[in-house]
Amino acid sequence: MGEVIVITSGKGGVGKTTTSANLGCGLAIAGKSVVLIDADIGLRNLDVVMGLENRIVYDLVDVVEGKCRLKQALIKDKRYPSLFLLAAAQTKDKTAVSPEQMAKLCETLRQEHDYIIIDCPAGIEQGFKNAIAGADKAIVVATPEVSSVRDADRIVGLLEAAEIKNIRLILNRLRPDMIKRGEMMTIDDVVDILAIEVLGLVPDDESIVTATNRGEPAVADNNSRAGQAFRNITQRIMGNDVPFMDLEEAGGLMTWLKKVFRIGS
Amino acid sequence: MQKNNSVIFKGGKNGIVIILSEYADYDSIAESLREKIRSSSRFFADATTTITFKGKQLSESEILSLIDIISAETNLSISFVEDLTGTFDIAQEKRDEVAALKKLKSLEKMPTDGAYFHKSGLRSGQAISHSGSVVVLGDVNAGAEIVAAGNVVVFGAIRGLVHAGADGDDKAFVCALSMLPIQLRIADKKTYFPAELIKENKNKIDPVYAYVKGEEIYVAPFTN
Repeated sequence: MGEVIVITSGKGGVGKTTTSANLGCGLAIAGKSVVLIDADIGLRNLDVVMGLENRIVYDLVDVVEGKCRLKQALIKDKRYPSLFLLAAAQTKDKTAVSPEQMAKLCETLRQEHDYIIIDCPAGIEQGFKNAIAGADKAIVVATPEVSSVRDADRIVGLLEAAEIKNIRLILNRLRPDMIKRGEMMTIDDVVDILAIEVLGLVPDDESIVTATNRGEPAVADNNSRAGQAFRNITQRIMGNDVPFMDLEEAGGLMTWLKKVFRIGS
Repeated sequence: MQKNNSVIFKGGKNGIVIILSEYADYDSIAESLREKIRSSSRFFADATTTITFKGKQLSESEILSLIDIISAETNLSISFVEDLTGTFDIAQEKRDEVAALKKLKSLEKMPTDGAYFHKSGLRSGQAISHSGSVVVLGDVNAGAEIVAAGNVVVFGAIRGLVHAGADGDDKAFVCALSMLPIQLRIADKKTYFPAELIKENKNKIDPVYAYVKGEEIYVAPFTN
């Protein structure tokens, strides 16, 4: 029996889709059988980030409407044979699917796969309710900004009300230099407010943008710092204890010089 | 007999005033109190009233014991206990604070029926609206709301909106382990907490309570 994990945030643009793609690939690289579900009906883009846009024949709405068999709609990833994508419909809206249908779909998929990762749309309306309906765990993605943390707090409240007990946090786009200067919320600030377990810390990394545009998730890139963070998170999802990476390391010449001369430490 | 004069009862406009002799010790005060109540128990019928202590300064536990005597001997329902005992050479400001604090400390002697206990924190978007007092065991986060006709006690940080005495009771108070609200309201008064102050105090546990005095909301440390 697989785990059904919803990736959610409340606020848009904090990295839900990027996180979903990276964790899906990370788990597949680790040999797990994974299905990624794009629950953002009408505004799909997980397929683009995964570089699988051109392979979509059937989507989520076709499956729940019975227009195709579930197996036909699962798009096999071009790199990792144990990774599948169930794309969202682009021409419909959130009301095309009901929470009961989503719960039933997740229940079917978990019989044959290790992880079902659901990319939740922004907001707290129908799309959110659909996305969490079949989930038994949740990962809340937030950036260290007041608005993002406020929305994440709202989402955690709704997840708790929906009796999803296992809720963990990924803090995305961290800028150690800004935190040091007191210009960005610290990890402690965020955790104080949200009071949930931290699953991962992802540094702000330009390579994510290029990876996203190429449709090649950064988790497979050994030179990407964000990729390393996602590899660590993948391990933690599988139950392995991995220390949090030092966000400061490998900064550049100045960091190296500071290390050598122990300036500012 | 000196003993009989160590406690004097007076009917004040806000309930019963009990004046304690400066010259009697606690034991004789307690005994005298019991005697006087017994001999005039009919006078005390089963009404709801507030009690104000004046005169000799007693410790908090002694005051509470006196209240115990009153509750044991009468059917009085004590809605409020005010402690104005002690010498009068402390600055007025300080005395008000002490009095307000003692009011809080005697909370356990106040009727608790109708209080709402919330056994976890409140997250953004969650709200409690209640016709009595509200007790929250956890943080009240930004975006959360508590509106209570009575008092609000938060065993955690207040970051959201709290309104105590929402029906206009300006005797209502708000207390919290960490007071960082965006806005705080008691009865028809409201106050803002400057962002710098919130930033400065965000990681501190600094138990405080807020109450209304005159036209303003005051916040005082919860230390004694």
